[in-house]
This record gives sequence, C-alpha cells and structure tokens, in this order.
Amino acid sequence: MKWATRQGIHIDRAACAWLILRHVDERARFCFVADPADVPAGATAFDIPGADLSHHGGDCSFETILRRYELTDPVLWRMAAIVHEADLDDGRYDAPEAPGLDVVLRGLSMIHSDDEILRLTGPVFNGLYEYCHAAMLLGHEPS
Amino acid sequence: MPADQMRFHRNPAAPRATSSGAAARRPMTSSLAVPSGHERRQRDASEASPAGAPDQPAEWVLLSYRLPREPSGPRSAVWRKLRKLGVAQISDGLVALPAGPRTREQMEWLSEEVIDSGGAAIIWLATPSSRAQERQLARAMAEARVAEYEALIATAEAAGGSPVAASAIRRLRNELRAIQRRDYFPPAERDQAEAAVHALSSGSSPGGAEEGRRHTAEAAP
Amino acid sequence: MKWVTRENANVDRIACPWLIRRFIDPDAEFLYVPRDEVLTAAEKEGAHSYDAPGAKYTHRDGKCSFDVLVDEFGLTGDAALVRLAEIVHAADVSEDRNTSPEGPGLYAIAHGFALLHGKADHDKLELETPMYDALYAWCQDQVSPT
Repeated sequence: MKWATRQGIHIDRAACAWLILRHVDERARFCFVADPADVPAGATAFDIPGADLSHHGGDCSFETILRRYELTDPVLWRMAAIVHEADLDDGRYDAPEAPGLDVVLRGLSMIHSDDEILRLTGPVFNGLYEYCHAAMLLGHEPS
Repeated sequence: MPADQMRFHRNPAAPRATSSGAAARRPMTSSLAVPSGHERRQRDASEASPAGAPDQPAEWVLLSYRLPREPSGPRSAVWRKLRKLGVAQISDGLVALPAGPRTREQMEWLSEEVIDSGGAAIIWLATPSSRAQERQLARAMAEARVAEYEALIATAEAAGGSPVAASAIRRLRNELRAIQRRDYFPPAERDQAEAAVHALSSGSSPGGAEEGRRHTAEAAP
Repeated sequence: MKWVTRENANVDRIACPWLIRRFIDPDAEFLYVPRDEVLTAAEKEGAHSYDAPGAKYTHRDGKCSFDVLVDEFGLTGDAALVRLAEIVHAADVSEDRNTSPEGPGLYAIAHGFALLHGKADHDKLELETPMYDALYAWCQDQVSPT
C-alpha cells in the first residue's frame, strides 16, 4: 500500500514510517510531497495537516496511528512518549530521551534525503523499541 | 536594544544548552566538511535566518486566524502555543515567525487546531517590504527573550551559594531550553543565561561536583 | 593503525571509532576483543588500546575515553566536536547523564543497538556512524554563526 507524507521528515514522520512498516503494512511504500494536494490518489496520507493520521487532540501522528490501528503494546506507547516530546515538546510526558532523538533527526535532515533518513532510522527505532522494552521490564533505565 | 546589536545571522532556536559555560566558551572555527557528496539540506526552521540576501528582508510565515470568543478553552490553548513558539504579534489574529520547515510545520498544525475548534485560519508566506520593518519585528521578539533570560538568570543567581537540588537544576535547564527554542534572534543574554545555569550546576550537587571537577581538568593547560 | 578495545560496545566504544576514523586515523582498523585480552592484543597487534582498564586512551579524571581522545589529539579547537563530546560524555557517564540535554537520547540509541546486536560491534559501528555524523552536523550548525 502507498503512504504519503510531507517532505523534510523529522522525528514524527520517521517514527510513523517505522511504525507503519512494522505494525500496520509490511509492504508499505512511502512518498514525500511538497503540498498536501500532491498526495497521489490511493495513497494514505500521514502527518499532513487535514489528514486523519496526523495531529489530533494534542497527539502527534505517531500516537494517532497507535490509536487508529488499536496498537496497545505499552512499549510502543513508551516510544510514543519520546516521539511526542521530541516533536511537540509540550511536557505531556516525562521523556528525557526526547531531546537527543530530536537532535539526531535534525542532523540527519541536514545530510540526507528523506528516503535515506527512513532507511537509516529504521534500525534506530528497532533499537529504541528494545531499549523501551528493557526499561519497562526493569522499571528504570537499562544499564 | 540597539539595532546594531541584533544578530541577523543564523539564530539557532534549538537548545545550545552547554555544561561548559561562558568561561570555557570555545573559539569559533570554520566548519569541517560534512561527509562529501551530501549537501547541506534546508535549515531546520528553528535555525531560520531572517537575513536572506544582504539587502532583502527574509521570508516569514504568518498565521491569520479567527476563533469564536466562546468557548474560551480553544482560544487559550492556541494562545498558549503561540506564546511557546515566541511569535511576533502583528495584530489581533495575525502572528509571524521567521519561515523555515519547522516553523511552517508548527504554524500549520496550529492552523488545523484553530479550524478543528470551529475557527478560521490561513498560513501565509510573506516578506516585510523593508529591512527596517523586519528589524522592528525582530527587535520586539528579541526583547521578549531578553526579559525571559533575565528572569532565569535572577532565579539561578538567587539559588546559588547553597546546595541546589538536582531537580531544581533540571527545571532551570528545561526552562532555558524552552526559551532557546523560541529564540530566533539571540541576544547577549542568551549566553549569560547559559553561564548562570552552568554555574549553578557545577559544584552544587554530587553530579554537579563531578561536572565541576571535569571542567577544572579540561581547563588545565 | 589498529585500535583495540573491549567487545560489546555501548557508547564510548562506538563513538571513539567514529572519532578516530573521522579525525585521527582515516585508515584505522578496529578490533573488539574480550575484556581480559585488550592489552595483550594491543601488544601483539601493535594496536592502540582504548576504553579498557590500563588502556592507552581511557577514562580518567572523570572524563570518558572520547573526551580523552579529543584532548590527546589536539581536537579541542573544533567547537562542534567539543559540543559533541559533551553529549557523548553525558551518554557514557551515568553520573553525568543529565549534564547535556541530548545525553539520555544518545544513551537510548546506543543502548538500543547494543540490546539488538550484542557483540556484533562492527555492525553497530556501521549502523551508528550516520548517527554520529548527524550529531556532529547538528553541533556544527549550533556553533557556526553563519
């Protein structure tokens, strides 16, 4: 299935792409548009203002996707806290990991194209999932 | 603030919180090359420069919006977010930020929120028609940040002299970072605020003492 | 030159190879060996040892190995690198985790890779190198006034 989002991906879009590939559509293909009107027919838009899978009720798009697809894995919600704070920085969650994730994505966007960013951050989010999983099992930051 | 003190070069609003402090301020060097074959992509919005070409004002992103007076909840929520972004208030229902990918995105989400709350909103990209007018906008924004930095410095200095809890330091660091994220035209007080928070954290708590020792070691020739 | 350290890298033993290859020894070859074999491997291979007890470049005076390499190889004039070192230090030294706001995030990234890949240190290095490139690019952007 085709998925579309805006160019210049940052933490929320990169995380959403990972989430979609891993938990929603393992054959997902992604395209990046400059204008919401350029979303191809038949593609599902995410993290574009006006789209269903975007910011609603204070959630970032990652959280909206978790809700829409009823993904209740608490590890994903722990990741969502980090993505939310990295993207929106509104203090809803306590996520000390957020600034570091934010800054890595900013740096990646200075060097790489959107496709490359998706390719490079897939492993990062895989690792982040394991980190969050371990943290929740331990009740604290894994060492 | 005198116009000639306005820094119109790139203005990272992303946090530059540093534990080195002003005393150990590093000399500026020319950038080492980014990996070859890759271009510097468009700057993040928080690093938008208002300078554009030397004689031209730069591009700004504007939000024009209208929200019903009642219920007041959505109006307050929007206004809180605008304050957090550090927008320039042009007039009632019209706010502006230096344009960049991040600021444009932030304004777009806000316009969606206004529309979802039953209001109307449009995002514009616009250029002030003169440098003088742009400087006025920038000065107003910088002065608002100066006030915030000065309040933070006062808090940090008041707390100094006796052991400060790690949680208090963290709060101050977070507050500093929040101000920096809406600081598009960094005044001198930005570095002073970083120094004040750093001074508080070195030597005032076990973790701070460790940090203080580290910087003592680094400062040694 | 060869550079040898303990296997099962987290922050320092990925960040240091990145630094070495990029700023100190572009042709560096990296060896990861069991903890007890670092010094003997260094002697046998004629390698520099780092981030291990008794190693040539390792934690001292509260600094992590990355900090020490930056100092020892005269890299403190690069403001962006010094800024990056603050982040790496915070990620590597648990008592100083919050001395840089970006520290916990880098720690999470590095630790996530370690959980996923265990002792496959060269895989980790390959996957994490772009992250350090990105952090360095961001740091350059922070310190450069243009």
